[in-house]
Amino acid sequence: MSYVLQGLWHERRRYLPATCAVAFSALLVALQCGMLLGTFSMVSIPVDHSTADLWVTCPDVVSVDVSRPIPLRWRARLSLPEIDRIEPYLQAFGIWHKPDGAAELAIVIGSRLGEDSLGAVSQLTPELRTRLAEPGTVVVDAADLKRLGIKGVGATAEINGRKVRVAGLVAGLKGLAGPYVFCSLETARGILAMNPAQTTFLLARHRREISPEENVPRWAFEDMSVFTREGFSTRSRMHWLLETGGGLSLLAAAVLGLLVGALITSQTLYAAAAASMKEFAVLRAMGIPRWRLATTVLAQSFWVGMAGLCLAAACLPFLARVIADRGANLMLPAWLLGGTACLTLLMTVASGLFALRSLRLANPVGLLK
Amino acid sequence: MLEPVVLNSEGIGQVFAEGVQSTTVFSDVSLRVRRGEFCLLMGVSGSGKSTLLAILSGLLRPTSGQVSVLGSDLWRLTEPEREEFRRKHFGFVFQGHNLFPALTAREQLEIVLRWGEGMPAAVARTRSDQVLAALGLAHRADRRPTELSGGEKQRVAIGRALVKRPAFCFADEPTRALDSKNADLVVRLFRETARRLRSTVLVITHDERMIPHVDRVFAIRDGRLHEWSRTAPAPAALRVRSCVDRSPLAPQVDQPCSEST
Ligand SMILES: Nc1ncnc2c1ncn2[C@@H]1O[C@H](COP(=O)(O)OP(=O)(O)OP(=O)(O)O)[C@@H](O)[C@H]1O
Ligand SMILES: [Mg+2]
Repeated sequence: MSYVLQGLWHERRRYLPATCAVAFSALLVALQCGMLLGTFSMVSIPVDHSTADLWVTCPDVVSVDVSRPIPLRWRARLSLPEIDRIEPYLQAFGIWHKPDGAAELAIVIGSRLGEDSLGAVSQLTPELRTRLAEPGTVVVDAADLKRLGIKGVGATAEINGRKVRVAGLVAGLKGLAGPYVFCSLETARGILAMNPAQTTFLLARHRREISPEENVPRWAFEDMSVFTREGFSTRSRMHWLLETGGGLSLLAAAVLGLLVGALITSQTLYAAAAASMKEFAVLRAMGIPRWRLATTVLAQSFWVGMAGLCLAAACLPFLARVIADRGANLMLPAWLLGGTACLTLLMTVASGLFALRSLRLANPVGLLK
Repeated sequence: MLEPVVLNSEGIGQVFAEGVQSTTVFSDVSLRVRRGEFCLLMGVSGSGKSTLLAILSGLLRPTSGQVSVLGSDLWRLTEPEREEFRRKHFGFVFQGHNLFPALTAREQLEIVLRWGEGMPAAVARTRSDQVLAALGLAHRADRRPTELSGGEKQRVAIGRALVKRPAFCFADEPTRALDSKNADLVVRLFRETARRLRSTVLVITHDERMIPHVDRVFAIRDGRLHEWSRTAPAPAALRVRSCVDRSPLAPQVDQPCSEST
C-alpha cells in the first residue's frame, strides 16, 4: 500500500485533475441533494415546527399540504389512556388577493393559540399569539412579503374574499407551494368556510413515557390514519420528492456529476497505469501475478477517491455558506454526506476497474527488442 | 567437478508469419548451459538474439523445438504454470532500466520480494540492502531513479533481477546506454553478484569488451547458433580483438582489458 501512496504523492500533479473531478462530483451530489432536501423540507414545516406527537387524518393523505376534511367526532376514537390531549388543526390552500388585485396561492394554517398548543409553530411567540386572538389577523413569514404583495405588519389583503390584516411577521417559515399564513382556528375556519363539525387534522400529544411508534398500530380504523410527527414529515417530503419530478432531476444531476467524475478518474488512472507499463512488464516477466498489479491500480483509485473526498470536505462548509447566504435552503444531514462519500468512492473504484484494461499493455515480450 | 546442466534447448526454430510472408529468424538452435555459468549471446542486429532470449526465458513460444530448464519442459507447462516457474526461477534485466519513478532503489528491489515472494517487509529490506551493497550501491539505497546515474540505475535494475536469488537471470543489452568505463563496472558487479547468489546468467550484448569477463560466448549468425571457445578461432561475426584472446574464464576476469579503439 505504501508503494501506491508513494507513487501517488510522487506524481501528484498527474493525479490532481482526477482528485478535483472526484471532489467536484462529491460536491455536486451532496449540494444538489442537500438543496432538494432543504427545498422539500419547506413542505413539512407545519409538522416539524409544531409540538404534536401524532397527526390524525385520512389514509390517502400523502402530504400535509394535500389533506382533506375529517369529522371532528373522531376525537372519541382517540380518547385512550395513552393520549394526553387532542386538538383540531386546519390547513388548506386559499386564494390570497394582493392589494393590487393579483392573486397568489397561500397555505392557511389555523391552530389553537394557547401556550400548550400542539399545532402552533414554535415561531409564534406569546405576543404574536395574543395578536392573532383578534379575529381576521394573520402572521406571515417576512421572506414571503414580496410574494404576498404587501409591505409588512398592518397591511391588509383578502383570502378567499375574507379581509385579513397582517398582525406580525416570523422568519424561517417560507413556504414552497405558497406562503404560509398563520392564524387562529376561528379565523381559519372563516377563511376556509369549513364546516364546524370538521377539521383537517386532529393533533394529539402522547403521555411522555410511551413512544408514538408503538401505538400506531392500535388505531385500526379503515378510514383513519395516525402518523407520528417524523413519519408524517417524511411522508410529506417524499411525496414531493417523488411526485414533482424533483427526485428525477436529483437523480439526473447526481448521475451526471458521477459520470463526469468517473470519466476523468478512469482516464487519469488509465494514463497513469499506461505510463508504468514497462515497469509493470518487468514484474510480469518475473512472474509477479497480474492480480498484484490490478490491486495497485485499484488501490490508486481508492486513494484518489479519498483525496477527492478530503478536498470536497474542505470546500463544503464554504460552499454551503455561499448557498445559504443566497437564501437557498440547504440541508446536509450525516446520512447524506455519508451516502455521498460511499457513492463517490464506489465511482472511483469502478473507474479503477475500468482502468485495469491498461494492464493488457504490460507485455514482457515487448521489452525484448 | 562439473556443475549440472540446468538449461537445455533442443532444435529451437522461430518463424514469424506476417500474412503470406514469413521470416525464419533461426532454426535448430540447441544449447546447454551449466549451473552458475555467465554466458554472452552476441550477433549482429536482427540476428534473433532477443527472440532466442524470449524463448529460453519462457516469454515467447518457439515455432519448434523444446526448452528444458531445471528438468521442466518450459513450453509444455500451462501459461499459469510457466508464470509461476518464472516467478520462482527467473530474473530479468531489460534494455531500459524500467524503474518505478516514485520508488527508491531499495524499494525497487523490495517490491519483487514483497509481491513475488510474499516476504515480510523487514526481511525484504535486509535482503535488498545486501544486494545493493554487493552492487556497490549501499550509499544510493534511498535515492529515486532521477537522482541516480545511468550506470547506477542499470545496477539497480540488475539488483532487482537478482534479489530473489533466481536460478537464472536473463539480460538484454544491460549496458547499451552506458559508456565503456561504466559498462565495464556494471558487468563486473553483475558477474560477481550473480556468482555470489549462484545464478546462471545469459546476457545479450554487442559489446566485445565484455568477453573477458564471462564463461561462455554464443553468437547467432545466419540463423544458426555458434559457440566461440578459446581454443577455436573467433567467428567472424564477433570481430573479437586480440585482447580477449586470454582465457575468458576466471581468474583473470577482474583484469582490465587493454583499451580498444
Ligand atoms: N513480432 C515479430 N514479428 C515479426 N518479425 C519479428 C518479430 N519480432 C522480431 N522479428 C524479426 O526477427 C528478427 C530478430 O529480431 P530480434 O529482435 O530477435 O533481433 P536482435 O538480434 O535482438 O536485434 P538487435 O540487436 O537489433 O536487438 C528481426 O529480423 C525482426 O525483424
Ligand atoms: Mg535485441
